[in-house]
Amino acid sequence: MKLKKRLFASVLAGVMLMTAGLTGCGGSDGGSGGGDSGKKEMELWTWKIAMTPGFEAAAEKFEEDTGVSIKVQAFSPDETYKQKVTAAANSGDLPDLIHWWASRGIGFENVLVNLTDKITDDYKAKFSSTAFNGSIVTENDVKNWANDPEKSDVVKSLNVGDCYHIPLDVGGFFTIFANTDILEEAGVSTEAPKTYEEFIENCKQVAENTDYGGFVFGGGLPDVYYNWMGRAIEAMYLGVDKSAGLVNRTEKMSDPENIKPLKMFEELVKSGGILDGTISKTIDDGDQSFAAGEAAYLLGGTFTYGQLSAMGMDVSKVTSFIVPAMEGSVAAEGFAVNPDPLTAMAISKDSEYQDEAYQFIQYITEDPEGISTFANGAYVVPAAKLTDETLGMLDPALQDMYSAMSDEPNVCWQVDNWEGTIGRKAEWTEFYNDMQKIITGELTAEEVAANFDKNAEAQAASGN
Amino acid sequence: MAISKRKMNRIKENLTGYAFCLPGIVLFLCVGLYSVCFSIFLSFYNWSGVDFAGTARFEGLNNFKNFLANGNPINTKLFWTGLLHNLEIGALTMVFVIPIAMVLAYVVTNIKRGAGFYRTIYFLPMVASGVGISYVWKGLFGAKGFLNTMFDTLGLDFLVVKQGMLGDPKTALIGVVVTCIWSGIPGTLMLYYAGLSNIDNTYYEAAEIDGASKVQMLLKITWPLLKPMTMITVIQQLNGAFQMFENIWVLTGGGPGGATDVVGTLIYTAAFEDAAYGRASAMGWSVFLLTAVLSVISIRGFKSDT
Repeated sequence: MKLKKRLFASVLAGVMLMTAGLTGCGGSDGGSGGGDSGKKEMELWTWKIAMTPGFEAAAEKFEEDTGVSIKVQAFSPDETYKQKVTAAANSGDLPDLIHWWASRGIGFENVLVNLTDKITDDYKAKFSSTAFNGSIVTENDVKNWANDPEKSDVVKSLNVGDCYHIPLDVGGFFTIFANTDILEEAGVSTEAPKTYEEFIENCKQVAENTDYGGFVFGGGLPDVYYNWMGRAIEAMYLGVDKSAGLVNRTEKMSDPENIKPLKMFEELVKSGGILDGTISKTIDDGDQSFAAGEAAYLLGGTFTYGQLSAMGMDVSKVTSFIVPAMEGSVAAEGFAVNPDPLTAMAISKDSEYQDEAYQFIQYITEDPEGISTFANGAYVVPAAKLTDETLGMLDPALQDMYSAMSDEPNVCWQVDNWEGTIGRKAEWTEFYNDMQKIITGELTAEEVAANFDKNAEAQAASGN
Repeated sequence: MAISKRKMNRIKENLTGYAFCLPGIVLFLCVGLYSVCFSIFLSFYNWSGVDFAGTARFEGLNNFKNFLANGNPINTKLFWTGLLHNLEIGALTMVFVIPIAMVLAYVVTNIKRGAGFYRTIYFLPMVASGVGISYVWKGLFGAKGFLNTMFDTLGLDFLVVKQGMLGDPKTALIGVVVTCIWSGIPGTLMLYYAGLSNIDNTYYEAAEIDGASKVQMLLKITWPLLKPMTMITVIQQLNGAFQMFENIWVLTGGGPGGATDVVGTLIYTAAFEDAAYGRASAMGWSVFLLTAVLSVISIRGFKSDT
């Protein structure tokens, strides 16, 4: 009896070991599969929960046309998604289609299909003029990556013109949304302010005359103010040369003229026009505050209307305008929001259905039905250049957003694409952190500018 | 040389035990030990996260130089500032947690009625979800949160922090420390409670006969006998402070303006935002070594004191 018990225990231990081994070491057969029926099934991963309905609707119609089904899976938040994709890339379990940020040099191009051959001039002409800015490797990129000791070999191995993902949607920042009810209550004009100074005065009036805040944004993320608003004000005021000089370390931020946009931000803070607690808010928190009627103005982009609407706000009471320039700006004329690429779609090298995956990308970026089905479901402005017919198939709000954007490169675009630019290096990360300290009153604009210059100099001296 | 029956039985008996241990050992070797070794290895490479064999570049000590010795001045500044925040959090948490937990343990040990109730209340933070609780604290510390509203209502305007406690660089770290004290007390209390329960009452009786006062008994009997618990607490708090990540990430994300950045948030940013896994690993191991050194110093300090 005792022996039987021992035998049973040994068998049980063995089974446990086998199970652990099988579950631990077993791999999957990759993203795509044929299923039992032999039907082609692809997998698509995204981190944008809000865009999932768009992908699903387009996938459904794509299946009707081609018989190829696509399973859409969303993983959120951003970092979780990045980890998921990285882990899958290492274990050979990537999905067929990978939705990713539209940026160059993403670091895992070695496991993606190189789409460079497909990107002809004719092909690019089907998209907004700036749509491929985040996808095609430039000469500057290659030069900067070669000189950057921290860039990986995957990124360093990329060549000029390389393209690993196709842009799906575009959008622009530099947009301020206004709650007309609050402005009226504060006795402030509901018209778009003509200058940044007037905007500051409006924010101040709202804070003084009502219980609401003047201006709110995702201030908990250090770079939101600068990237969505500050750099436009700076570039319009200083012009392209000087603004690009700050990026390329040939200009000093503490220069009496160059510091003025930063000082104007300090004025905004001192006016009391920024809603208390803005410094702790995420982008969603900022939108939520505005949607809840806590502030008169919200900093956003072309994508913000959809967000406010989804939060239950009556958007008929909301107007929007482009970030106003400072008085004395030298490059404010005709400033408009450019269609900057936001997200893109890549194909896994391991996919069994690379042709079908590319076919799906073509469907949602070139076919009027696919474009509109995806864009309306995801509530995004498509990256494709739209014909009148396709534009008419879009949701009216998306049509407005598309029409409001200009293909003419604005001053910010010109700064970013300045010939020979080194791009924004680590001193900017510190600069964004320091800008938060202006909001809390810990640093003045002069101190922030001095820190920036000192950091830029130290970084350059250390070869970074 | 035949193996005796007794020995044979012992081997068989042990074999069953080893067989049961094997899944755990295999799992540890495959997952635990492999990860640790790979992470050490990784700290000497530049790698963006995919296909190590094909794309990693040997960097020697460059990853360490990057943030320890001005290889990248900004990363160096961020690392040392983050480390200082870790130390501040650890030191401040210990200063408050140890005496509070000791007093509460004494109370729980000595009260006659409702001890169970108090134990439940005191141990509650231990069973609550860390991330969930961090969101609650975030709400309490907000610009229009409970604390500001309460101070405002009570007319204590000087205590109101306009941007909320976590939104001001001067107070954000204090806010983080408060949450650490709150969550650190139960574990320490449990240790001291166990320690106090194990002190033989005859020590106190003998001291009382010798005419010792309560304070003398506390300093000469209770404190020395609780020293092993205090040592464990110090090491635990140090480890906790240096491994800190999720509550800071939820509460402040390291802000405002990097005021609450700790090495954990920097490691996370390096790995998952910059895809610099080598540098992230190097930072992790640097902090591990520092924690180990501090722990050894603490242990020696307590031993030499006993």
